[in-house]
Amino acid sequence: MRIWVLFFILLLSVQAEDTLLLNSHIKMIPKIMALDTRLSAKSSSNKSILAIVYEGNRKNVAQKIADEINLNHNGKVANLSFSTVALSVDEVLVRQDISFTYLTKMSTSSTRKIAAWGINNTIPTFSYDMSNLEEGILGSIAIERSTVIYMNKTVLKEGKFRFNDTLFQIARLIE
Amino acid sequence: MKLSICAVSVIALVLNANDSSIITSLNDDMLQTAQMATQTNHNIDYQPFILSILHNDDISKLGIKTLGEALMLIPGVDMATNTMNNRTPIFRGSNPTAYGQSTLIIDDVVVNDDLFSNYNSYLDFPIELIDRIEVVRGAGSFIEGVNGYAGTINVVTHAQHDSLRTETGTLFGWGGNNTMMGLGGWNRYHGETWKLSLDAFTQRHNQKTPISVIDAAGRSGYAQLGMEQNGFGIAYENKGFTLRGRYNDYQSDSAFGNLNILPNEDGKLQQPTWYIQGKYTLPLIQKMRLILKTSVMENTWQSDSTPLPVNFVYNSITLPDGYSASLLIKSRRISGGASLHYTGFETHHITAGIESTWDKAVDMHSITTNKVTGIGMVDYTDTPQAFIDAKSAKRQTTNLFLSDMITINDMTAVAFTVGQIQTSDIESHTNGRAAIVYQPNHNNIFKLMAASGSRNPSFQEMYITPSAYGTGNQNLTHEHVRSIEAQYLRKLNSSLTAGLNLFYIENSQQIVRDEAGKFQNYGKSTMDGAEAELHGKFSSEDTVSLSYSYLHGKTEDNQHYEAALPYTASHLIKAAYAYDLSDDWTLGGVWQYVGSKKRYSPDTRDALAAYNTLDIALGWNMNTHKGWYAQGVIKNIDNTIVRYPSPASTYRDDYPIEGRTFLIRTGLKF
Repeated sequence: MRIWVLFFILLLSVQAEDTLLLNSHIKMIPKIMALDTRLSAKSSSNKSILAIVYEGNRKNVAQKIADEINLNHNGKVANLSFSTVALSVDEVLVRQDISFTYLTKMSTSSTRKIAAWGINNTIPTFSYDMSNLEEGILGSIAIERSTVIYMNKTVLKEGKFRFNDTLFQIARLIE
Repeated sequence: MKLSICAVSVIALVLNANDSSIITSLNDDMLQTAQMATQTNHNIDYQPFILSILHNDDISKLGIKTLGEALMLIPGVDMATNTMNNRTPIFRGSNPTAYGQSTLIIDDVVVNDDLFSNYNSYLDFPIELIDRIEVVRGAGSFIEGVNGYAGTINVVTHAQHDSLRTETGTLFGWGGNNTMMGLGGWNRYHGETWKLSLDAFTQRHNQKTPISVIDAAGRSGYAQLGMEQNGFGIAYENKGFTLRGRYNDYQSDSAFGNLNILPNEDGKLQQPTWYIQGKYTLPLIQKMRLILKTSVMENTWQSDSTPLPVNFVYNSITLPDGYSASLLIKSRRISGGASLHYTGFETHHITAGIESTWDKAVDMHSITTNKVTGIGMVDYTDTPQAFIDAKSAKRQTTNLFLSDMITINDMTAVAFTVGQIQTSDIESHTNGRAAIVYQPNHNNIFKLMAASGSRNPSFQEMYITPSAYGTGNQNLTHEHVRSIEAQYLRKLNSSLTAGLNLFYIENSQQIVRDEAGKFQNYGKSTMDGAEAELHGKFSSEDTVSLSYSYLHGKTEDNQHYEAALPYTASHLIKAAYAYDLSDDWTLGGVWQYVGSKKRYSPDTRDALAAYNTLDIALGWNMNTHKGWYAQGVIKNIDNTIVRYPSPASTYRDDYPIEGRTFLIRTGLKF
């Protein structure tokens, strides 16, 4: 419980997003990344890169989320070493070393661009906004009656994404 | 070769162990998030109620100052008052002439009083002390053991530690026209195993009606609507034990007078109240816990005024010094209960409980001008002419309840509650509620709810002695409601939800005054209508809440005479929007439209005219959780006269309550 309280304190200036939802994403996204069985193939160095993607003037928000993830996980989930960086939409599209992306709130056109890029390069795309799954984003985490990891089945196939099977036992696959 | 196979196996095992620990950790995160979401009612859209939540951060930006103002943002909720300006929120037109239609809970304690079953003295509670307000429209038990009738309001102050807030305290103050001023603060402390929260405030204003009014005797003047309030709250938690207490000293002017004549300007109505609640949560076995609760509360209603002026002739008696009255009734409520929570079945959350309450008038005085000669004061306390039969005003109530929330599958959940209420002075009654929540996908949620509920008559409805105000009736029974509600919610994105609610409500045994002024279970009314709402954020810089409520209702008296539902607006529109102009500045506004209200059928006056108001608030640093903030607010910028309906033969131009006001407030969060 104390850790949770600490998170809320740290998240003071990211109030634009829903604090509880964002906090759950900060805790869970790196763990989902660690279940990507093709992760080592995507990383040229020892460290995988988790990109927090922003659009326009929202670099601050993305940077704070990246900082929180780095602080929370200390660059490691189980055996996976990773670093989290804030990148703009344009920066992500030209990078070759990204292992996993998390999208902050952005326009539909930018969401679609990242979604298509993720499918073409087999880079998993998760989003703050659940409705982005309709734009071709791979997954999101929603707070409903319980906490639900949603994954887009079609995108999963199109992008040839591979995760540890146990993830699919707790995630909800939707068309 | 054997070595290689062994090595691969070990690596595979290690990898599996790693993945397994990640999955376990993910599962824990999901459970913790869900738990936190439930505690803070974060997942309201999925709950089997039509529920709205007002968060302090959002409503502060709109310039909302009090609990009562905040409630007016809820779709389908309007306000009514009486001659003593004893205000009560009206939910979907439910019996606007009676109190107790809704229940107010502050930090787990029901604060409706015994005399009126109302909570007027809490409606001016400062918003700065409140973390969030959860409002359920419709009947049912939203809070364990509390049977909501037309609506339930659950106020969570900063004393509650399930809050997501980051500041540990705030000092605040405000000032405005009508010598409006207030000061207050709250603070939280905690140790390894304990938590302590304190809050305190003082406020006052000397508001009066924005225009002159004409009373039942044809005299004109301004009714005094000023108030003064001092409050203090404490909450202490230690290892499953919680102690909560609150003292609320509320005093207001005598407003329009309890005899429909403008009273003396110095007339006062005092409504001090206090409570202490102890609660202990005891884990019994895994997934089973017992919650024990006990509380004591006292409510006082004391009116000291001169309701009739010098040389007034009343009932053929000339009153050379006017008619003065000092009336007091103090009641005490003692309650105790236990509830058992079991989550051992994977898809069920079962709660069963019992709560007993003893309500009793413990003090009363009734000193008035001599009712026979009109000269001199007489103490009628121990006579049948006392304003209330205090000796009879006592009640023992036992409430048994059982509820279950059943998760059928990912898409469907069912909830039901049944309860039996046994009351010493009226007949027993059974309440029940069933709801189904169907979520075919993330974006669409459908709810269907049916409920049967009841409201016990208040002490005033049963025990006041004959007067111009009314006559109690000890043969009254409870009011009864049956309702069917449907809700469709469309999640437009993670931050924005649109909803459509349909409802049909049938109220019977409604307590109304008959032609002689005696309370009777005569009324029957049906209400059907719809509410459309949109709430959330268009962007990360704004907050929006829009709603339109339509209500169609009719009443039927004991002669089966039907009439349109009086005192309620068929159309309510509420629009609230706040936008962060920059990192420092926030502009907020609330526009409300209240449609016209029909009268009771014998009342020949025109319908009460529709009105609309606009509030504007400009805030500095309103998003902060550490540091100073300030805000300037103009309410009712167009100086519209906000009127609440008055019964026939009282104030012919209704009760004009509000005009334009302004205030500046500031505070320090730390």
